[in-house]
Formats: sequence, structure tokens, C-alpha cells
Amino acid sequence: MDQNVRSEELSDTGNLEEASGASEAEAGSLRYPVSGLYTVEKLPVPVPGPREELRLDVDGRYPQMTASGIAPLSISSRVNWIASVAPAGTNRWTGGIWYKEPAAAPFPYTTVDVKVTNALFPHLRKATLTFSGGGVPKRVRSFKFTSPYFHPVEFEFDRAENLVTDKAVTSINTHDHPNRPGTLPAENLSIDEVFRRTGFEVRASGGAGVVPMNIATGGVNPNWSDNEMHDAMQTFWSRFGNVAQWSLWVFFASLHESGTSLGGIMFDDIGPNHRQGTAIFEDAFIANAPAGDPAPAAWVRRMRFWTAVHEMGHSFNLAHSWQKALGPPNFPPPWLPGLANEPEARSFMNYPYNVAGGQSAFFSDFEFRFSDGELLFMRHAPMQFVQQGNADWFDHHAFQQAAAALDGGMKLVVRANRAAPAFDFLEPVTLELKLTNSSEQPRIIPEHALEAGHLTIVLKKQGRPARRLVPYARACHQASSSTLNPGESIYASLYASSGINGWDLAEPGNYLVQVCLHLADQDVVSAPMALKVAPPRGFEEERLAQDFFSDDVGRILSFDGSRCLEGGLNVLRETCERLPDHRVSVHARVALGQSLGRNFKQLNIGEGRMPLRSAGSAGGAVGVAKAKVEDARKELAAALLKRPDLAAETLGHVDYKYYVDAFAAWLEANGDRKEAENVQAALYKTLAARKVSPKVLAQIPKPAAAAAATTKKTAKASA
Amino acid sequence: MAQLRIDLQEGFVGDTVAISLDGKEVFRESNLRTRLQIGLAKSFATEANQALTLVEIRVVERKLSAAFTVDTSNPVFVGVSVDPGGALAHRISREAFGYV
Repeated sequence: MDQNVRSEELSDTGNLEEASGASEAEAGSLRYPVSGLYTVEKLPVPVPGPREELRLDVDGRYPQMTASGIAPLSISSRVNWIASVAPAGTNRWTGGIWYKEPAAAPFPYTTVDVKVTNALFPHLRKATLTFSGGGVPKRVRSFKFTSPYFHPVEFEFDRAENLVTDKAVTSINTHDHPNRPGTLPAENLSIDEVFRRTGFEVRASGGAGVVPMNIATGGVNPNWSDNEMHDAMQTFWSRFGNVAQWSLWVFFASLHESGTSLGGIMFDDIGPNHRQGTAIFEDAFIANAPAGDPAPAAWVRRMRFWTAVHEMGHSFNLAHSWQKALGPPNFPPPWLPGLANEPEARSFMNYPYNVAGGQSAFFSDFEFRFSDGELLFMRHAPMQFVQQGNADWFDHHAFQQAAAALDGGMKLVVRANRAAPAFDFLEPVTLELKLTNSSEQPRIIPEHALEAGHLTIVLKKQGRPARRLVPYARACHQASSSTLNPGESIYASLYASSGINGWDLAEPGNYLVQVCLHLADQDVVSAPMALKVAPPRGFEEERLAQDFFSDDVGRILSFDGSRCLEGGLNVLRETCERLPDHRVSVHARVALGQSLGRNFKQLNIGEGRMPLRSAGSAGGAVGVAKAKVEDARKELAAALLKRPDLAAETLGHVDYKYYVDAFAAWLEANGDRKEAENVQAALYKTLAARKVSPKVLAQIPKPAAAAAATTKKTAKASA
Repeated sequence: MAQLRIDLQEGFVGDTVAISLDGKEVFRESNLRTRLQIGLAKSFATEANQALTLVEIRVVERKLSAAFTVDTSNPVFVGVSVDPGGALAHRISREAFGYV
């Protein structure tokens, strides 16, 4: 039994532990590799905040003699640290900390000492980590061995329908080509295995398959543009999501639209989450062995294999070997200051044909690995720099720079129109933006300054990377300006729950929201606003949430209704039925009522999937969904007037006034002037009771002119 | 008549680049930026009219320039980069450059 268990263990831990000496006899007893990920042992009393980790890299494949980890600093912050270590006895390593991120983190320690209690069974391995130095008492933590790998990752390999399967090379025999290092072991080497040796626990995401081309129907260019591949990634990658995740889509195709000179590209520098997709073009120049090569077929297979791993390396944020030193002012900084180029590296990230002696010299020394510097980065750099789709550029770059312009005579505030910034589970989060001219001079600002086109909105859930809120739509206005006088303010509502990236502000927990307004001469950055989303209050809310947090519902709420997103509309109707007194039902009824109140143009196209073509050629036509006046009246009255104070609170003052004004105008247009006046009176009473500015109250029409006009969503008034 | 392809490769950061062949400007484009994951900003191809062609490259805003003669009796490929020191560098190849 013990023998079986041991065999499985060595198989599971795989090639990280295969290196020579990994299981050598030492001091009369067997020594097992200790490198890998350790997590802090459970404490008697659970401590909130980030989980403490230790990554020990001292044996196994390509040891970097490095220890690194994450240490919590507070409930919502942590420090990444890296130390170079040297042996200090049996299963003990010590060394100095040379990297911290954030660099200014209050983590004074300078030295680490790692003592491992080794064991045959991995789950029995322990590590004791002692931080010292910095003039503070030692800090000692106990860890348990978690994995021989440093990070997990998933790969999905898909190919274009018109690419012959054999060309999508994901493994090779290392001895097929005679030009190779004399010491290179003969083996069948897979892409997965290369990344396991790099330190990743590789798994297949399970969706590998074929991307249909429909070339037979004619008119389809078989070559691929970056945007087409990005679309294909969203459609065919089983794991696609606009989130940071250890997951990568690898696409094998014939050619890029730019021609045979492009052998592959990490095409995913589109949209908010980069580095999630990469492509290899198997019929490009990489399919042409050099003239006179002794084994041209093997050369091509090796080059295709090399190219696939190279492109995947980019998705881990690896630069080319000769680009390592690039940095400011023209490029983002490297992860380490002073990083050196490696123009002669025998790495997957170097061009074989650019080294001295050309591709022949390269492959004669190439051991199918990344360089030590690249291994250090992938194993030990802060996760957000490496993980696919992570928004590290935003976390550490733009906003810190923009914050320098906080005092530019303009003040931007993000707030909620409620006593405490706490939102119920399922309640759409609507915030209020207030921009004030705090200088002594009039300021010229864009007419629609607080609309999405001028804003960058960042959401950060506690313990997670920051995310950029990308609204579903941006208005494109003719450029025009207005004047904001000293002391004057403008206001706008901000729907923050969801956008193109999904529902980033929906899960229970604590969040920070920060907004940057881009003006011609400065960026105005708000202070971060903390808010909380409460946990569900029962099974009904949990059950509804499964359908509610969908793209359709997000769009309906953002656009104030729809007559075609039937799935989302049904969810909102069910929400109103099952949670009639919940705040979410106010939002749902507004969206339902707004779309029912008028004739609604709809583009009708036949059911089912069909090849891409124009709506006209597909038989589409614009029809009209008739208004349902009584249904609209019922929904809007229930939303806005039944509990007006709650409606004003959950919708926010700006939107509440907008919706009530619109409702009054609609009643007037439908011949009910009396009710329109009553609605405006209720609006005045509600906002007055909530102590809204008298200048805003003054904008509410007198009863006789109740239906005069619908105000814009952006209201202007003095602070 | 043979193909002459000029690849603007590393080191372009929003530059305006002008290319002249035998004194006649044949290419000018602004805001050229190296796409780091392939090491290429722009590729320009033309047909050379004679066996030897004088190629002049100018990076306008940075006031960089390089001029060299290329044997264009057969297809030829020229890679141009701005090196880390801020100087223009070029290499000439009888085979097309490949990018990954």
C-alpha cells in the first residue's frame, strides 16, 4: 500500500521533482524535494484578510534558490516579498529579502529563515518561516505543504476548421532533429509538461475543439485578424470571462491576415482583460525549414512547438528576450528595475534566428526551457503581473499617477444618497457623482462632463484586483462646453453594478469605488468611496440571484428597459412577484414600466443561428411592439409613488427626479393632467423631506406646468 | 524590378517615419508604435526600379535618419529599428523577416 501511495505521489508531483539529486540519499536518509507552494496553517481563531503563502524554490527543476510569499498587512492589504536564499543546514535555507510590492509597504523585515520538516507524504511536509531584521521582533509562521507547483493554470487548445490536425503541434520527440544539445534527454515533450517544469499545475479546461469556418459558403477569408480571433475566443473558449484567471486560450490557425511573416501572436491586447488568448499560424514562415536541413519535417514540428510555447509565454506577460530592459518613458516599467536584456538566451522567448550563429546555433544549445529570469518572474513575481487577464496595469499605474492631480481646482465626490453606504443583496448600486468648481475662477468643462465618455471608473472588491467598470454604452456628443462657476456643482447618477465586464459590484462584501474625470487640462480623481453589499437574506434571494446577475438583466437596468431581451424581462417580472417589497423591485418596475409605456421599435430576424450577413439579407425587418399603457402606469406608480422615500433612496436623487419627471410628462401626454400634477407634488414632497438642495426643488414644475418638460439626467444646481 | 520590403521593427513609440527611395519619398506615416509582442510597428513593400537603390529612413520628430544603398536586383528585406541608445539601426536580409 505504501508503495502504491508513493508511486502516485511522484507521478502527481511530476517533473518538478525529477531533477538529478531530487531524491538522493542524504545523511543516510532519503530526501524528497521540498519546493512548491505552502499555505499558512489554520489558526485557532480565523483571521480575516489575505491568505499567507510561502513559495519555496530550492530544488526540483531549474531551482532559482528563492523564497517568496504573500503576507497580510491588514484585513484588505498585503505585501509580496521575494528573498534569495542559500542552504543553512539540512532542509533549511536563509537569505535576504530584496523585493517588496508595494515597495513602501510597512513590512520592515530584511531576512528570512525557512526550515522544512520533510516527509515522504507531501501532506505531512511543514515549513517554519521566520522573518527577522528591520529593528522589530521576529515574525514566525507555520505553513503546510500545498502543492509542488507555484500556481495553477488551465490551457484550452482549439484549432480552426481548415487547419489539418497534425499541424497543431502540442508535443514533440526531442530527439527527432539531430541538431540538439548532446545532453538533451530523449523524450516525448508536451506543452503542458514544459509549463509544469516552469512551475505551473497545468490542467486542460476541457473544451478543446474546432472553430467552424463555414468557408464552403463562400466569402469568408480563411486568414485571421486580431479582432476576429478575439471574437472567436469569446465564442469558443469554454472558460471565457472578462475576469483575471489562470486560464489561457490557444488557437491554432493557418495564417494571420498580415501574411506568412507572422508565425504567431498573443493577440489579446484588446479590451479590459489582456493576455487571455494567443494564436499560432502553422502555415506561416515557421513551416519552412532552412534549405539543406537534414530533417526538415522534424525542424518544422519543432518550430511549431517552439512557437506555441513562445506565444503562450507572452500570455504570462513575458517580453521577448531583447526587450527585457524596456521601460519608461516610452514603455511601462519592467517588474524589476534594471532588468537586463538576454539577447543570446536559449529561451522560448528569444528568436532562434536572431542569436549569433542563427537558428542552428540556437537549437544546438536549446533545452526547451525558459531563462532563469523568466522562471523567477513566473514563479515569484506578484500574481497580478503574471496571471492572465489581470488588470495589474490599472492597479499600479494609471491611478497612482492621476492621483497627483487631486488639487486642481475641481473636486469630484462619489456618494450614495443614504445614511450609510450599504446596499441590499440584489439591489442595483446607483451612486451620485458631484463635480464642484472649488477654485475662484470659472471653469470650462464639457457639456456632458459626467457621462461615461469622460470617466474612468474603478471598482475594487476587498481582497481582489481592481476592475474597471466599462459601461454598456457611451454617448458620442458633438463637442460643446459649459461654464462651471466658482462654488457651482453638477451632479449625475452612476449605475455601478454591471457593465460590459459583467456584474463586478454584486457579490456580498466590501468594495471601494473610485472615479477619475478626464478634462482637457487635468484628471480629477475622487477619493475612494467605501460601500458594502449585504449577504442574501434568504433562499429566495439566493435562488433569484442565479438568473438575475446576467448580461440581459444588466443591460435592461442600464438602458431603462427593453422589449426584446425576453429572458431578462422574465427575471425582472419574477423578481417583482417574489420580492415585491425589496429595493430591487423598484428598479425592476422602473425598467419594465419605462419600456411598456411607448410604442417600441424592434428588429425582427428569424430564429436560430445563421451565417454572418446583414439583417436585411437575413429577412429582418423593423416592427413595432405596441405600448401597454395601463401596465406601464401600474409599474411606474408602484415603483415611484408607493414608497417614495425608499424609491428616492435606492434610485438616488438624480435618477428618482428623472424618472418621476418622465412619468409626469407621460401621464400628461396620455391625457391625465391631474395625476401628472399629483406626481410632481409627490416628487417635491419626497425630495424636500430628504433635504435636497432648494435649487433642485425649484426646478420641479409648479402643478400647472407639471408636464412641461422632462429634465435631463444630469441636473445642474449650486452646491 | 524586385520586391523591396522595409520592416519598421523595434523602438518606435508613436513616431512619424518617412522613407525615401532614390530621393523620392514613398512612405510617410505618423503615430507608428512597435507592437511589443511581435516586435514590429509597420511593414512597407514596394518594387525597386534598378539594381541599386538608395534608401533613406527618417524618424521625423526625433530627427533621426539613416541612408544606405541596397542591392535590389533580387528581392530584399530591410529591418529598421531605433536601438536603446536612440540611434537608427538597420539590417538587410535576402529572406523575409519572421515575427512571433
